[in-house]
Amino acid sequence: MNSQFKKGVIEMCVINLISKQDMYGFEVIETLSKEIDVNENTIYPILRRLTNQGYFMTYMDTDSLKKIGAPRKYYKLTALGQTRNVEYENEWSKFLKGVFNILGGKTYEK
Amino acid sequence: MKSKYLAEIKKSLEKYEIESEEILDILNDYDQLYDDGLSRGLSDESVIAFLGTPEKIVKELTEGIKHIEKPKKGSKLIALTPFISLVIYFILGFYFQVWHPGWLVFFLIPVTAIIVEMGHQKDKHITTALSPFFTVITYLIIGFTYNIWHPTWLIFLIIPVLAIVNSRNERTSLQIITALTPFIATITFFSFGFYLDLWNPIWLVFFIIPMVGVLNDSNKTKIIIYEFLFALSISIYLFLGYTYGLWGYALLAFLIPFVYGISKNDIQIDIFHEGKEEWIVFLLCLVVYVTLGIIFKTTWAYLWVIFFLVPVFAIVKHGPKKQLFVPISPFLATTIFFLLGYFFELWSISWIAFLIIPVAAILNNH
Repeated sequence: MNSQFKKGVIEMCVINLISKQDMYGFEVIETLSKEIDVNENTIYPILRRLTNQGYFMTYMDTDSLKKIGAPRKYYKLTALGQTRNVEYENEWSKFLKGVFNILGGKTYEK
Repeated sequence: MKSKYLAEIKKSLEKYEIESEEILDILNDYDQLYDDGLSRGLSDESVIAFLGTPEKIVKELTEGIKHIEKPKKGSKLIALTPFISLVIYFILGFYFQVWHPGWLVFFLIPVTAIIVEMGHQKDKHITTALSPFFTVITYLIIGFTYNIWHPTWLIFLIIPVLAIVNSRNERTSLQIITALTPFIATITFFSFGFYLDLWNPIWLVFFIIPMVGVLNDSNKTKIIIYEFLFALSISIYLFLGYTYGLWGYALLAFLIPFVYGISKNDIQIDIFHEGKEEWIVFLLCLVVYVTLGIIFKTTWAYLWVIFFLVPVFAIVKHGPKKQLFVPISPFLATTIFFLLGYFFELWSISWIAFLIIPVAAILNNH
C-alpha cells in the first residue's frame, strides 16, 4: 500500500481512537498495531504532529504516579480534533462506498 | 541502554532547526514510551525495535524540517584567508615591490582550507593534499632564484611518493617498496644523468621496477627465473657495451626476459586497459618534456605545465560530465598565470587568472 495513503489512514485512526477515550502514547501505538499491520515507529511522530496541529491536547495523569512511579502524558481530543474526526468519518465512508461499488459483487477466484 | 538511546535521539534532533524545549518534550515522551515498553515485559532490544531506532525516529519527526549545517571549527579562518592573502599580497607588492613571487601568498587559501578540513578529520592524507602547493612553491623559488629548473622538477615526484607512503596502513612493506620503485628509479636516473652525465648505463636503474615487482608473486620458481633473466640480460648488455662498444645491439639482450614473459602470458599487451591511458598521457608528457628540455635547454622552466594534461585527462575521463570546468579550472588558472608571468613579466596581474576557480564554482552552482 502507498505509504502516504497508509499514513493518512493511520492519522485518521489515531484521531478516532482518542475520540473514544483519552489515551497515553504507548497505548495508542499498542492498540493500533494490534489491529492494523503498521510500522509502530511511525505512530508517535504522527501523534506529535497532530498535537502540534491542535487536534489533541495533553495532560499529565497523576494517578499513574502511584502505579508506574511517574505521571503519564495523556492525549485528549480538542474541539478541532472532534471536527476533524467527523470530517474523516464522512470522507472515509464515502470513500469506502465508492470502493465497494467498484469492487463489490466481483469474485477473484480462479 | 535507555539513556544511550535517548542521548542518540537528542544528538540527532539537535542537527535540525527544532527548539530545545520541543526536543526536551520529545525526549520525555520517548522516556515514557520506553518505560511503558519495559513495563509490558519487553526487553531493551524489543522496546527499541518497537519504538524505532534513533535514526528512524528522527527521520520521521523531522520531515520537512530544515537541517542545520553547523559551522565547522575553523571555517571562519578559511573564509578570512582570501582577504588576509590579498592584504599580504598588496603589502608585499606596494611596499616591497615583490609582486612576484609574492602571489604565492594566495596558496594560503587552499593550504588553510586543507589544514583545517583534513586536520579536523585527522585525515592521514593531509600531507599528500598539501604537497602540490609546497612542491610548486619550492620549485618556483629554486627555479627563479637559481635558474635550476631542471632537475628541480623532480620535486613533483614527492606528490605520488607521499600518497603511497600515506597509504602504508593499507599495504604491505613489499607493496609500498614496489609502488615507490618508479619514483626511486626516475630520481636516480635524472640525478646521476644530470650531475655525472651517466645517462647510460644509469637508465638500467629502471629495472628495479620489474625486479622488485616480481617479488610480489607467490610462485618462488617464477621469481627466481625472472630475477635470473633480468640479471642475465643486464650482464650481457653491459658486457657487449663495455667490451665491444655495441650498446645498440646489446639492447637485444633485454628481449630474453621480455620474450619469456610473453610466452608465459605474464606480459600482456593491453595498453588500452582501464587506467592505462593516464600512464600513456604521463609518459608522452614526460617524453615531450625531457626531449624538448634536452634539445632547447630553456623549456625546463615552463614546459612543466604540460604535466597538467595528466590530471586534466583523468578529470575529463572520470569526472562529472556536467561540471568538468570546475575541477579543470585550477590547472587552467595556474597555466594562464604562469605563462603570462613567465613570458610577459605580468606576475603582478596574471594572478587574477586564479579568480577563474571561484567564478567557475559559482557559475556551476547556479
